[in-house]
Amino acid sequence: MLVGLSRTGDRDAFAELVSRRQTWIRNLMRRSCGNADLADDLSQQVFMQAWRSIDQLLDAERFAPWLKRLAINTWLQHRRRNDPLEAAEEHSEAAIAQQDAPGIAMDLDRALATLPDDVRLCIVLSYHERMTHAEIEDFTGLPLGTVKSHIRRGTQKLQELLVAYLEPQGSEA
Amino acid sequence: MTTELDPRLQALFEQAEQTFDSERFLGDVMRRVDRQRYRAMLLWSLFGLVVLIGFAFVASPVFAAVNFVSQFLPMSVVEVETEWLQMLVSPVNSIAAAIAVGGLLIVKFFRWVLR
Repeated sequence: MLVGLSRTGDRDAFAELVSRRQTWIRNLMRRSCGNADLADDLSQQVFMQAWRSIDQLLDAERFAPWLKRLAINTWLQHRRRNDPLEAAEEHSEAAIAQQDAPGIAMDLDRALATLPDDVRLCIVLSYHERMTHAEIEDFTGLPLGTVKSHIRRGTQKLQELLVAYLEPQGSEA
Repeated sequence: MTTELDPRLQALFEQAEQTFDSERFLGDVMRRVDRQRYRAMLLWSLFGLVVLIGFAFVASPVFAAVNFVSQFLPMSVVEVETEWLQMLVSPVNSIAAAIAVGGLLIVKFFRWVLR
């Protein structure tokens, strides 16, 4: 209903869609880029892109995966546009520390920031979005074997870095 | 396909989910949307204005050309002497009809080629 109205250019319907989906997209972007300000800016770009091209969405039921694809493409485009030094700055400790995030989110973002871009993207899509390997292959264009190895490597690295959170409660006793 | 995932990490990702103040974000997005709508409206208005100005410039020669051409359109392609036969074939026996049929044939031909 809201998607259908937005397709006709209904501003209020689109505002309601943004309101309902913003938490999801902003969380996805924060996990992907590790910088709160940049994540919010990219999230806004995602919704702007959605506004511009929502009339191309034929099946309103597919709005969520369509929006997710827009978000991933926005992130990939941003990465392509920016040089590695700038990207490193985005993931710097300072950038992460300035977030108003709770400790667990900050630690997770810090750990994610140590992963190479592609590995981090695969990890975020896999753990945050619960996407299958085949879906990640489809969304990112990475070969299936690469997706699997990225997830394996990323998982190992996160297990090392976040060991304090992953140890069962009371295991020291 | 997700058998390699660590359920503890999955739980960690869930716990790290944040809720955000939606009002400011929504305000920012809708401001950008409004700016874009305004810009699009402005561009269309400019385009319309350019078309109108352009039309004003070319209207006179275009009308003259149309008038000139239109006097030939009802002319018969084949001269028919018999009056009743002339009336019978008049809808298709004109330059206008020939142009229309020719146009249709060209469209059909291209559709057939591009099929």
